[in-house]
Amino acid sequence: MRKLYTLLLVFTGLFFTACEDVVDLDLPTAPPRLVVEASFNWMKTFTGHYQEVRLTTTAGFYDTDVPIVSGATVYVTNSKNDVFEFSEEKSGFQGIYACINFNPEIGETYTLFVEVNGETFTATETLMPVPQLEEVILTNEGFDPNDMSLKAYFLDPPETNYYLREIGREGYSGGVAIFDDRFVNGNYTYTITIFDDLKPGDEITTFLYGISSRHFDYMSKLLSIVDEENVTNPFRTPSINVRGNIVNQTNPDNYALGYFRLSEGSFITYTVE
Amino acid sequence: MNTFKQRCLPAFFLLFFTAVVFSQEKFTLSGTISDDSSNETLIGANVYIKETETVAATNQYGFFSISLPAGTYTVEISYVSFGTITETITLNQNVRKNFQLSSSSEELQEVVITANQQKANIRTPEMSVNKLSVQEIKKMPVVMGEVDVLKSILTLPGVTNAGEGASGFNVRGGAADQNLILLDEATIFNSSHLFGFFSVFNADAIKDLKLYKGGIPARYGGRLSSVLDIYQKEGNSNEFHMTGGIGAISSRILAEGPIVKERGSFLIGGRASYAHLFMKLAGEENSAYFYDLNTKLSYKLNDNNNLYLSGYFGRDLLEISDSFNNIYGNAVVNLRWNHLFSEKLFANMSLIYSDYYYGLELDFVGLNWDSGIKNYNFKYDLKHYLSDKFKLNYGLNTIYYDFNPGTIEPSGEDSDINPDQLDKKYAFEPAIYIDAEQQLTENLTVSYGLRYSMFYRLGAQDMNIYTNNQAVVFNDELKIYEKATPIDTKHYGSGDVIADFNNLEPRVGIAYKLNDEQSVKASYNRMAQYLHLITNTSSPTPLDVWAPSDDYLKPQTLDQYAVGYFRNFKDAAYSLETEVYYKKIKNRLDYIDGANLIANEAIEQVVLPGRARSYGLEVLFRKNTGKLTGWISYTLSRTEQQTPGRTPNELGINNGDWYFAGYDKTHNLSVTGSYELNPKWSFGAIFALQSGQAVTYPNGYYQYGDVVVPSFGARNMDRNPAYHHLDVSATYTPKPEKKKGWQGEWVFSIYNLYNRMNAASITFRQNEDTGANEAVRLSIFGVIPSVTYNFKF
Repeated sequence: MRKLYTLLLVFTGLFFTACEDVVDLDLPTAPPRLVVEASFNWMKTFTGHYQEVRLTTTAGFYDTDVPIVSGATVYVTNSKNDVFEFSEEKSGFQGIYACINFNPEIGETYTLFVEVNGETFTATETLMPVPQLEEVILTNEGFDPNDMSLKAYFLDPPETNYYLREIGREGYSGGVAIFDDRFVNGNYTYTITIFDDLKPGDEITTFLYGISSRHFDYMSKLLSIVDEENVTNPFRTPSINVRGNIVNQTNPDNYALGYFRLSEGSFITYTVE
Repeated sequence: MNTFKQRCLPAFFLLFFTAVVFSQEKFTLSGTISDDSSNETLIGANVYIKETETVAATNQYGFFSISLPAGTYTVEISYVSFGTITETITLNQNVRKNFQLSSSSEELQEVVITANQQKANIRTPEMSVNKLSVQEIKKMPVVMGEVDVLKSILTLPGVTNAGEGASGFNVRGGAADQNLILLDEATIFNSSHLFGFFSVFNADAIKDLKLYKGGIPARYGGRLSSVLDIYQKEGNSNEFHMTGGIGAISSRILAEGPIVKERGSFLIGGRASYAHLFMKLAGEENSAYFYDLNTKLSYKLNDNNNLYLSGYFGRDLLEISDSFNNIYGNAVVNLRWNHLFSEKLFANMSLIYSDYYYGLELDFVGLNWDSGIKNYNFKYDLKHYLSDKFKLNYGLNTIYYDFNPGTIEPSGEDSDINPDQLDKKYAFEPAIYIDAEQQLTENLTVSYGLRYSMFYRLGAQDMNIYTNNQAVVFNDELKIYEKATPIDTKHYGSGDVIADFNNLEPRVGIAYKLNDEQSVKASYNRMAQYLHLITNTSSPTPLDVWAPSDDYLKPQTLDQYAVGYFRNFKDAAYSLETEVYYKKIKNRLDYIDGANLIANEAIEQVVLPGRARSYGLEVLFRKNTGKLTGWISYTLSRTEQQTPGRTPNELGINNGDWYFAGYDKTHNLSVTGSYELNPKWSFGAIFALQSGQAVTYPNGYYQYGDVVVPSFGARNMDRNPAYHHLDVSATYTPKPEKKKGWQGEWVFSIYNLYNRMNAASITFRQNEDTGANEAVRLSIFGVIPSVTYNFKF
């Protein structure tokens, strides 16, 4: 589904590139709010023992950096009450809390605890499986003569599945997209990325993660309020603060942003000929 | 509802009977009024009886009927920019007489035009209504020279839209899906071409339009906020003529003429854009274009029977590098039969078929998508001219809907797409109505009517069943709304009633004439709407689907109150119309955060019922005569929406607080003028000044993975910069004295003369190169000059 949506955005962008300029607006800054980024990826054939949690806060819109949150207590438990401690990295990497003995299991439910400034935040999620990426095909399809479409194939399982895709390239990571198996359920299907600057020798890695339906909803809200350059979104929905699965147990009104996600991951690398 | 019936219905009948008692020993003068050169009937032409000061206007088929005591009368017939006919008629029996007016402009009068339709209506309770003639619309300067019927109504008070290039329009704070747009009585579901840049109506084929913003007569229903009633021309039944125009974006040509002289006529008009051809030449592989076709056959069987067959067919085609193909548009066929049962009883029967189609081919996704709405509409409307003081309108309207939300097919053998058919939806919407206009005393006229509308959602369909009937659940821990999982489905067979609704919709108006030049009026109307446009964006897109009401999506209802003061000055050389209104809407759908609406089979899982309210002051000042004519319209208004939680625990949308609608415009000023310098040159100008759109600016940002995410506070609390632009046009007619053969005219226009960079939107994003956050303004139209050549022969 997401595929269709993304295409529409790109397409309408073509007709509306009318005239863009940067304007200087006086924007207010709300008091900082905790942001939890806990995206646990367990790549197939890897141990998944190393995981990290990043704690930051919101910043003024024009600020160059987001402040990190140091001195928090972070740990994760599973349904068997195993506790995995996350300790803050040393200077230079403060705000990153890492664990080296995490034990990932597909279908297991985990709870994240973050204690900071006397408030306890928790989040509960399930580790979602993903099929293996099997092959990559590069075609000339696209919106523009220069465009190349990279399709990474996998066999979608029979039940309803939700996916998160990321792209890695030398000096670049991004290309975040989410999609489900609506229209293609149970088929040998693909995730598509359109490039306009591929040249021989480029190595492109496609990452595919299994995500929960709740995370899919979260990401679709998040991506719908994020504007990208050269894509004007005529289907723009109202701007809202996107709430994830982090709950402030001490003071519910002081909610945190971000999400605690656990995914099995699969990747495939393609070298442009 | 019951209390209303008991209190109001007896009063209703009382008025009816008093009127009948006094309608004796009278004769009726009836007939049609038409343009003598084309035989085209004139809508809203005035018939004035000097002795009794009785005024009547022709209906949408050019028919009028007046009943008067026996006697000899001076009858004055007039219509805007046409001359006036005065005749003496002796009424000692019923008289049937057709009048023909000649266009004053064709007589090359340099004198001021005296007869004018646009003076304020003092006598009848009709209020909150604006009319624009096609002549007025054609004089307005427009973007790229495309005469635009829908954009022209934005110069009227109480009418706004979400912004430049946005499709649809908003009337008195109503949503874009709350406008009933009728073309020759047929409902048009999508009124714009190319994402709202152009309207689907070809001005050459249009005779007249009327916009009801309030006090909506009982004859209309099915939409809450307005009725835009557009009538196509019948075609010239005297002589063959062609008209056309060549513009920068599109060209149009229209042929009309008699089939059987003075009895039957045809009209066929086509319009197509061709800007994409130049784009192709310039090596651009992507293209976007549209075309449309208007047709009409009119045939007068005899004095008492007329037949009209009209059609509209329009398509938009968008193509990107053979990878993306998109086609959408309306097709409408309409057969109407006018029948006069007597001089006093006029009937019209309409049989309408309309089809809105939306199709998409995505080659590299391997997906073909078809969706649409078909509807079959039968209307029977009677106008009963019981006496000069009492008129009745009554009739029925039934619509059968067939919605196809989506048929999905793989585009080729190697496609990975599974074929799918989203559940088709069926509904039946019958309504009956009666509406009376009655003059109670010399100065007091009232109108009162009642519409009884019904709606049946029909099978075959499998309907989801949810715990506690709640398709949306509130996650109390995470404080977010989430889709409920159906616990079961219930199968309804073909024709089974899934849900049914009915509403009594009273409509009341009152006019009190202070003197011949001034009156005060008040009106109330209730409306019900059973269809919802499922859209989460500030203006509709062609991909948006319509959903019929069911147990989860309840019908929307509206109550509107308006009072107004109307005045003509200096023999109607100037007129002033002021109104204040208040309206409230129940069951306005709002969408839970992050609702995915595309191809969503269970819309009920992402919507919550909310409410909306709007109130405002409208002022319309017109200069009706002289070389300089035009109007100033100003609206001060507020439009808000609220979706509170269903229980105290729930947050609702925007914390359950009222928030401004995206099309809320506190101030809206529009000045429209045209100046006739001499027969060769005339000039037009429009100045628009509006408060900026209500939007939400970020109050910070954060980093989530690789994504920079703006963070927001309460919804729509900020305003984009004020929106204003000045447009001018000049029309040059090289040979104004020429009335036969080829007659040409040049229209030069400049849109946005001082190149104001109006913000269509402001987006907040990270600069790809510097990584810094920035606010980026998108302006769609800078200064745009254009030239159009119009001709007729």
